[in-house]
This record gives sequence, structure tokens and C-alpha cells, in this order.
Amino acid sequence: MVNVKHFVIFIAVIFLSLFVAVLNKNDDMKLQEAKPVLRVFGYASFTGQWGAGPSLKQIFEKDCDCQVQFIQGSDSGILLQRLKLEGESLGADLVVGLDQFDLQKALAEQKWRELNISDLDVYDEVKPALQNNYFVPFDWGVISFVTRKGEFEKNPENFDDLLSPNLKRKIALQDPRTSSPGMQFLSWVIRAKGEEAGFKYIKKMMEQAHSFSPSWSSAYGLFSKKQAKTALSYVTSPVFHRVEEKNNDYIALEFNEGHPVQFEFAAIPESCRNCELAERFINLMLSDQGQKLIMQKSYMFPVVRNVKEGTVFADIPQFKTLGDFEIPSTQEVERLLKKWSDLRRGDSN
Amino acid sequence: MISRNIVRSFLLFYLLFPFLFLIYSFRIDSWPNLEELFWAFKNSFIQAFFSALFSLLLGLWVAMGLLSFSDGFRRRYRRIFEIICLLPNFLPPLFTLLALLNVVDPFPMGTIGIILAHTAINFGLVAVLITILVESKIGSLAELAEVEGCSRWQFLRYAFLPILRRDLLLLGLFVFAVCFSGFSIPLIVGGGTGTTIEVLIYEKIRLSSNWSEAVLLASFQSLFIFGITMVARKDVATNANRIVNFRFLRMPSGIAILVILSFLGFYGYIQGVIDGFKQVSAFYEIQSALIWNFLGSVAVGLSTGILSFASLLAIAFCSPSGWRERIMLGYVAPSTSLCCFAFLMFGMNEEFWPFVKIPLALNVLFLGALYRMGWDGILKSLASQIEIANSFGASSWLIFQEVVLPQVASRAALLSGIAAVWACGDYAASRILSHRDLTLAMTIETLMSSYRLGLATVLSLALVFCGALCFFFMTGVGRVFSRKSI
Repeated sequence: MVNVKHFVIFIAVIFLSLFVAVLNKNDDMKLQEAKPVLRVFGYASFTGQWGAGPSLKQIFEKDCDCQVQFIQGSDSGILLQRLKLEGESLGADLVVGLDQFDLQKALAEQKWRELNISDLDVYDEVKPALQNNYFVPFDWGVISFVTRKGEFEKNPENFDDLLSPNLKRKIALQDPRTSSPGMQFLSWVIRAKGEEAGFKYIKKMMEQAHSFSPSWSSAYGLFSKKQAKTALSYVTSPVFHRVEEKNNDYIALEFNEGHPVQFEFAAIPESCRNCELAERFINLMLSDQGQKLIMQKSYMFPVVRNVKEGTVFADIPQFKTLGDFEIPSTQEVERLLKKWSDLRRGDSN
Repeated sequence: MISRNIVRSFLLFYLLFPFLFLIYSFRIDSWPNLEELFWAFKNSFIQAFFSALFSLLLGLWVAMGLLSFSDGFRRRYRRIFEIICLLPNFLPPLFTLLALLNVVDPFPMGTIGIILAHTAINFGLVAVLITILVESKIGSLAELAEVEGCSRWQFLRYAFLPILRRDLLLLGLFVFAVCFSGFSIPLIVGGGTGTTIEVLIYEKIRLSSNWSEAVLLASFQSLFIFGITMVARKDVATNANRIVNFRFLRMPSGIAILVILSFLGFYGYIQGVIDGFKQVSAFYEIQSALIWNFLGSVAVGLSTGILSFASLLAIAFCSPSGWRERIMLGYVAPSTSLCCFAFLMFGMNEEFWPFVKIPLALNVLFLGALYRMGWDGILKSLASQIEIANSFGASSWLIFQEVVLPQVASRAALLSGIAAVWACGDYAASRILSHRDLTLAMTIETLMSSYRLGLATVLSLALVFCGALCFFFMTGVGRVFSRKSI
């Protein structure tokens, strides 16, 4: 009879081998003592295999005599929470992926290093986002509704067209409390219509929404699976389908009201250990090479002028944007979200 | 020899650790808005109650179908149907939801949608558990009743329901507790109208960094589940493994409904897989990472499985333990995000630590549910044997080794196999506790957040394989432990 002790040892050996193999796999773990380590804290779609992060790391490590290590957070909200909770022990030298709605909160909760970004040659749409000294935009996107050709007899051209009975429960939206594009939509409507009329409109939109998904990916997944006729996304979304799926059926809808712009920022915490390396990494992100990579991997516009020229991104029609750029205060964001929640809750009662 | 009191104290500390650490770390300086709390509580209660009710009803029907495959050559096919039943538990919630959306169009977002999704995910698991319950408690009685000429209706009315009433109630309570504290489905399907306490906790942390209110809400949620579990009383269970002829309880329509629902549900999923295969060449450049992600999933799944197995056996070692059993029966960990943040803030997070912390956190999150899935019943069924062994002066270790372990090992392995499957599909806890994509589930989530739903669907097949591997490994462990002696 086989002794159970032997069996336990057998399992332990298999298990430990697996454990050691998985640990040894990661080159990041085997950091060489002599080389400094740049720790970049970012969200999954930047640092993950499909994001721009790994390619930037490869280029950066060629010249820096250092190693780049990514620390992944699920989204910008969780990024900030972890930064606050783990503080210096997280050891983040660079934070990537905050958007304009996070900036005030980030400023209130953390100390950041000043950056010199005044001489960047950026697109006109990006200039307003350079108004602070701590956060530098590295990509941007124009928020828009995306649909498939043939979904509508006449494509919606303004907010009121979205209230058509044909679109009842057919619009995939994001929950502004948990999703950055969702917050962009709320802000978009209020800026375009004013607060009172905006919330009246949003109340009507709640009847039209297929769902308020917690993230952009869930909402876009519902749209991709044809559960919704249109989804709130980016003007650049159809380019993904064109380039990677060879599918030209997707289009972004231009609205008369003008479109909001979402910026993604990078910043260096005051507690950085390899601050100079962090600055050099930002410089790489803002170089033509880095910008091209970010554009191609994230399907967002580059901030630096002339980078998109000669690529499919240059063919994207230029939508009228809202123009002004504002960094709303944390209190203002919370106030609007509370009002949205109250409205949504009332809708259920 | 290890003292039972030390093990009991350690278990108690381990389970209460997230609460203690969070209360220690965050000063409670504000209280949740009562109106908001009541609204979230109402949503949580309604969705959990109806999810449990419908899961139980549908699960009972399907269980009758599974019993059609309980003897002879049919028993071989039962495992296939059991896997089909457990499949929704293998996949990330979004896949189950997308499959469901193909059947129910338009899908009612909000509380009704949450109930539908929870029922779709849980009825199969309930069916498998009811089958085990019927076989272990009333198998012989069913045979006897058939021989005595009892009709099926009479048996159901006078034997089945009265004997299993409390167990079914407990099973319902298990589903209720799982749904009440569920996170992913209410977050995706709730859409603002169906916000539950769990989602409210997440919003408190993410939006306003209000940890004080988040901890209070989590404590309220756990206390509520604890309270209602205290009200439910557990019957003494029996534990029999004899194969019984269940002709009397067979209901092939149960299998038919399972096959129809699975076909409708997974048709959309299979379509997604076929579409995704068109882009499968994109995996070429990251094949090495995918292999490591697969191993990472196996490591997390097996670690969680083995940890759950050890925890369940530790509970069995401590049994009977009076009031501690009542604690286990009502125990619900704080919300997923809070529990993970507690582990995140405690100690190191580098190098191998995520591989330690993720299984530890998942075990805390799963253990209460596993206990309510029948572990309490099987331990109670051994109480008289333990008492006799005690009166003969056997030590607690000897009793565990010779009496308890051989009888409970296979059930512990089954439950920890389920925990391993859940762990394989987890990305929420792993995302908080790790610094990079360690597992397939995390990579799937990353793919979905970069437009690649098709590839994510293809990759989910590997996740199903990985979950099955861990599940069968754990059940194998149970078989060895139940046959051999230490």
C-alpha cells in the first residue's frame, strides 16, 4: 500500500516545481543587482502584452543600462488607491494612465515632481492639456459613438437623435462612477446642454441605454456581440477593426455638439527612486518612435505633431471637439456622480 | 501532537484577519448614508433571494435528470453532464453573460438581469450538490420505497421533501449568501439600478476613497449573512457512498432541460470561439507568455485548491467545535476588493508574494461558501463516531487519522476542486494583488480591454482546460487520501 506521506511528498514536489518554474520565468524578477530598476506603474492595457509598454521597455533598456519593471493596476481609480495605500513601498518611479478626471484627486493625494514640458510640439487639441507642471499627456482620444454600417437608415447626428424609439435599449454606455469614458459622456452632455437640461437628457437616455457597463471593455464587448447598435467609444475604434480584423464596417458618428477629448497622462511621484530614468522614459514616450508605438498599440492619437501623418490614423475624419479643456475638482466630480446616482436610483424606484 | 485549540485559534484568526486588519488600518470616522444603504440592501436581498429560489428549483429538476445516470453504464456519462453543470463556474462572468445575452434578447439589465445571470451560473452547481445529497441521505430509502410500491409523488411528498427540507434550505442559503455578496455580475449587469452592497463598497473605495464607510458596509453585509445563518438550523446528515438504483427518482426531462439551456447558452460562446480563431495567429508573438500564464493559472488554481483542502481538513480536525461551527456556517469574508486590499497592505507584494497572497485571499473568500456546500453536514454525520472513539480514549489526532480523514477526504477534495476552478477564473482578486498578468484569466481581461474580445474568447478555452485539470487533480488527491492511511 502506497503511503500517503509519499503521495504528499509527490504532490509537494510537483507543486514546488511549478511554483519555482513560474517564478523563475519572469525576467523582471531576476533583476540584476548592478542595474537600476525603473518601476512603471500603469493600467493593464498599457503594461500588458498587447499594450505599448513592453515595446517601449525593449527600446528603453537598449540604452539605459537599467531594467524596466511594470507594476500593473486595473484602472486609473485603482492605480491611485494603490499609490495612496502602498505609498513608497510600491516604489513607483513613474505613473502612467491617469485621465483629466483623476488629476485633482492625484494632486490632492500625492506629491509629484515638476516636469518641463513647455517645448513640446503638440497638436493644437493637446495644447490646453499642457497647462499644469506635473502631468504630461502622452496620448489622447476623441470620444464618440461607434456603430456598424447599416445599423441606421440615417446616422444620428446629435444627442437628440439618440432618443429615437429605434434605439430604445440599444445603446451601450458606461457607468460614470467606474469608467472614464462613462464620466466623459456625463461631462459631455452637461457641457453641451447645461447642467439642468443635461440631467433631464440623461434621464431620458437611461431608457435608451442597453446597459451602463462598469468598464469600456464590457460596453464595447456588448456592442461587438451585436447586443447594442452603438457604443460610446473613441473615434479611433474603427481603425482597430480596419487594421487588425480587415473589417471596414465600423464607423464613428460625428455629432453637431462637438466631441470631448480624453487625455491620458504620465507623472513622476515625488517619492521616485530613479527619477532621472523616469524622466528619460517619459521622453521616450514623447519621442516620435514612442508616440508611434503608443498610437499603434493603444489605438489612440499621438500628442506630438506629425507622428500620425502617413498612417491610417491620418485618414480618420477630424471631428469638431469641445475645445476648452478643464480639470474638474474632485468635489465637482463627486457632486455630478452623486446626482447621476440619485437619478439612476430614482429610475429604479 | 498539534493541539486542536491551536488549530481552532489559527483558523479563527485567519478568517477574521481581513476584518481585524481593515478596522485597525482605517479609522471609522463616517457612517454610510442610511437611505443609500437601505436601497443597496434591498437590491442585494431581492436579487439574492430570487437567485437562490430559481437556482434551487431549476437545480432540483436537473438533479433528477442527473440521477438518471446513477448506476450501471450510465454512471460513466454522468461526469460529462456534471462538467456541463459546472461550466458556468469555470468562465469569467462576462462570457457567461454574453452567452446568456444570446438567449435572452433584449436582456433586462438591473435586478432582473442579475437574478437571471446568477441563476444561470448557479443552478448547475446546485444540481450537482443536490445529487450528492440525495445519494448520501435517501438513496437506500428510495430503493425501499420503490420495492414497497410507493408512487413517485408519494415519495417526494412524504419522504424526499421532509427529509431533505433542511438541507435544501441550507443549500438555498448557500446560494443566497454567494449571490448576496456577489460582485462581478451585479457590477456588470446592475448598471446603476441594481447596485448591491458589494458594488456600493467598490464605489466607496474607487470613487471617494471612503474606506471607513466601505469597511462598515462590508461588516454590515457579513453580519447580516451571519445572522440569517444562525436562524437556520442544520439537520444531522448521513454519509453513504453505496451506489443506489435511482429508477424511482429519475426524471430525464432534467437532462433535457440542461442540454437545451446549455446549447442555447453556449451556442453564442462557440460562435465567439470560431470567430476568435480567425485571429488566432496573433497569439504567435506572445506564445511564450501564454504558456507561462497557463502555468500561473495552474499554480494559482492548485494552490487555492490545496489550501482549501487543508482548511477543510483543519476544520474537520477541530470538529466538533460548538460555537466555532456556527461561526463557520455564517462566515462571509469582507467584499472581494476589501479583502484583497487587506492582504495587499499587509507585508510584501514583490517576487513570489502574489503567488502566496492570491491563494490566501481566495481561500478566505471561498471557505465560507465551501463550508455551506455540505461540509458542515458531512462533519455532523461523523459526530457519533467521534464521540465513541473519544469514549474509548483515542487521541484527537488518531480519531482524525483513522475515523474522519478516510470518510471526508473525497468530499473535501471535491469542494476544493470547485475552489480551484473558481480560482482559475478569478481576475478581480489577482489584479489587485499582483503586479502583472500572472494568469490566463488576467490576460483574458487585458485582451478584452484592448478590443480583442475574439481572442479572449479563444483563450477562455484554455482556461476551461486549466480549471478542469485542477478540478480533476484535486478529486484525484481526495481519492488517494480516502483510500490510504497516514
